[in-house]
Amino acid sequence: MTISEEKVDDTILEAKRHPMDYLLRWDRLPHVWCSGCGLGSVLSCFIHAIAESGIDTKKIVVVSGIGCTGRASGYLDLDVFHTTHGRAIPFAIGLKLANPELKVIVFSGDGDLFAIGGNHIIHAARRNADITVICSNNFIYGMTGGQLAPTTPMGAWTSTSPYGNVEPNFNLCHLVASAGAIYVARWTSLNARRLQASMVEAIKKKGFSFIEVIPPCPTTFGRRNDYEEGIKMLEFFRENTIIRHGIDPGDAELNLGNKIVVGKFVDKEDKPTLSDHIARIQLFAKRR
Amino acid sequence: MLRLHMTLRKIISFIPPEYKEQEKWHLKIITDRCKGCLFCINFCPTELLESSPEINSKGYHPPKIKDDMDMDDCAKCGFCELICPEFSIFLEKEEDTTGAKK
Amino acid sequence: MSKKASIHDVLTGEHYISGNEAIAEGCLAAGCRFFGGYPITPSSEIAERMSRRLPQVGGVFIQMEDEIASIATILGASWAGRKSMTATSGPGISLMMENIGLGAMTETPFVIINVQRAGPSTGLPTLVGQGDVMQARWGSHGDYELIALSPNSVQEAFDLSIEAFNLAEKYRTPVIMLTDESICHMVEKLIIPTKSKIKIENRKKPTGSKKNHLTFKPDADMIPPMAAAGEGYNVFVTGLTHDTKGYPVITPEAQEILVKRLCDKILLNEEKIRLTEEYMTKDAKVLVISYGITARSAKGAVNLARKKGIKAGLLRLITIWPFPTKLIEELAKKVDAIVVAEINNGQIVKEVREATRKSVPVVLSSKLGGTVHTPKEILAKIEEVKKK
Repeated sequence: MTISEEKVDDTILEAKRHPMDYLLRWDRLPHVWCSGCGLGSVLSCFIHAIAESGIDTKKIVVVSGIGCTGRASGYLDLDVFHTTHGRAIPFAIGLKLANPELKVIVFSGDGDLFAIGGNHIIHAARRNADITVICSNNFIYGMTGGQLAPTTPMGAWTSTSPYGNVEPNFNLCHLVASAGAIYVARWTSLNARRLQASMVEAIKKKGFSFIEVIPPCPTTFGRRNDYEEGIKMLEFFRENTIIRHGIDPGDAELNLGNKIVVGKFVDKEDKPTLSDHIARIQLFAKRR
Repeated sequence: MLRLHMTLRKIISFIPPEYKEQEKWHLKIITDRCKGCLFCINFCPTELLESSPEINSKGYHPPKIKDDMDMDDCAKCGFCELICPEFSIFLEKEEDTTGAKK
Repeated sequence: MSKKASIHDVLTGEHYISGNEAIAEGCLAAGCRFFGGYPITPSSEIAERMSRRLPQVGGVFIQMEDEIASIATILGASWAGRKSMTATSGPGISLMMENIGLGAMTETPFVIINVQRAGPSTGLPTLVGQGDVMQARWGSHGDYELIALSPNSVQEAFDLSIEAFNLAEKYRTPVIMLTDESICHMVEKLIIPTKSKIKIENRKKPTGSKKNHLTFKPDADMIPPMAAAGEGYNVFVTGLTHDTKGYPVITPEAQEILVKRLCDKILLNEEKIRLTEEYMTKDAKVLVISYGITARSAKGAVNLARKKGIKAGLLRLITIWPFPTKLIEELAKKVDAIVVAEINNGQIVKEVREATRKSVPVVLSSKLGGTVHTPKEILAKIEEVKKK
């Protein structure tokens, strides 16, 4: 037996650049998100997914609305658009239809996409617009200080539901699947590997694909609901997340105290997208 | 006695070269990006990390490798890199390496 | 339709069509290749014609779920490099306001056709109005400037549609065509020139390195070149106050620099943008100022006044915003009184009073919508100020 005299690292080495910085506008870091917020993890999974997908980054466009998640696009060194509140999806549809070569991804929050922008997402799914929507659902309006959202679970405490939320919440995956999305998945930000793989699948999918990600929000949601630290909420996810691929998203409601059902709920075969149909009628009209 | 053994192990690896991994990995960090969320520490599968007593320029405690552990204990899974919300910690393979033959 | 014209391009030839259809043809001739809209009376014919015509010229027509989506989608299309437009009326333009602000802030060229009907609210959906003039200027929150044009015939509706796109592209700004129900439902002769005779302006493209591209770095003319998504410039576009890179900068200093430039690039070019028509103003003692359909009645009123021996003249505003303050200031020195005729409770009249600095009496000839002025109604105002 020979003894190797190689020294093994026992410290973390200091670095100047992160290997994924090439996809980031690193001169804008640190980002605006709080310590313990999971949005950074979701963004990390997203850039890893973009790298893994092998798609030409020149053709990738990321569109965001307003809110905490809406800031995500601004940290990406891609063509990025930070639009008005709720209108990321129609803006993205305009980009995609005007230049079908683009890979258009909407990265925004639950309030932006499902409250003020709720009309647009169901119509985008109905049309099978060829875009990917990544919705980060933190159950709350974070940037404005923690007000009630249509995703806030019944009974949860927020700054505008000081007696507990009396409204049932939307099941985002169920809604989008019903409207016709061809790919629907839900993950927590702790399911980072699966989330990354799911993002790659969704981005590569032709047609309207949707991923709901649940990141911890310690500052505005957690603080009022017994998850005052990000890791406390992630620990809850670790203990209470169950993966159920292929189940009816209608059976995967998100309620306080219940298990969080995650997984790939819908993965239909490609069908002609809105862009395909428009190209078809262009061809038809040109021949006449 | 155990402690002494651990300290020794940090200096000299007793693993025969033929059993050693042929790749050398480093954990790296951009300390000033860290916001001390503890995600990397809490969810490391080998529990390699802990909070450093030192503070960075933002006033947070960045992670460090536990005193009695080293990179041989790292699973090289890269989960810390993936889940780090700040693009601070990452795992990197040493490019020009031939494993233990050095 | 003339025999030479191909449906796959500019419909050169003589036509007998409505203002709405002329606008659609004008926009196509200007190079518009994207329409996002939502049906609303009295603008729907524009969408209908575009839905048939755009695929013929390789363009995209989409009917969105509402007006907010319509304007958001044309902003997106413009950033993908296509000339884009929407057409709407009162309630629709109200819904679009927030994204018009985004268009001004992000210097996105696009054209909105506002076929004005009488408001407020649902008002008179099928009848004429001119009550959106001030809204066109300041309907979105914050300080910004844009360009608004107002045609008074079917031919001019066509011509100004081209001009609207040219101005939008040149100054990187939203342009609103403030037309009205009467012009747009009126059927008149339209002559579409050959394609080579139509002057087309296209946005400036960046020429420098794609690496570290500064998305909003203006040239000496205050207008930044515009890269499209997918060209490799990695554009950074946000509605937040931003620096030349496009990065958000939440400071009063950045706000001062950006908003000042956004306003100045329009205001300081007012004389270059300005389009007006003067009729018998050389020796005029009473000046009538009007625009759109109302200007046709005003012209009749000037003719009637001349017959009665009153030296009346007409200034027709074709560009409404930026307002030709200097021109009116000059004209006011030569006349004894000004009559402003418009189908609202007095909007442009306030700008005219501001421009004349109370040097001459300014009288409003107002109608609140539903019908246009008769020349006699305006003549009565001319005679009234003449007596004073």
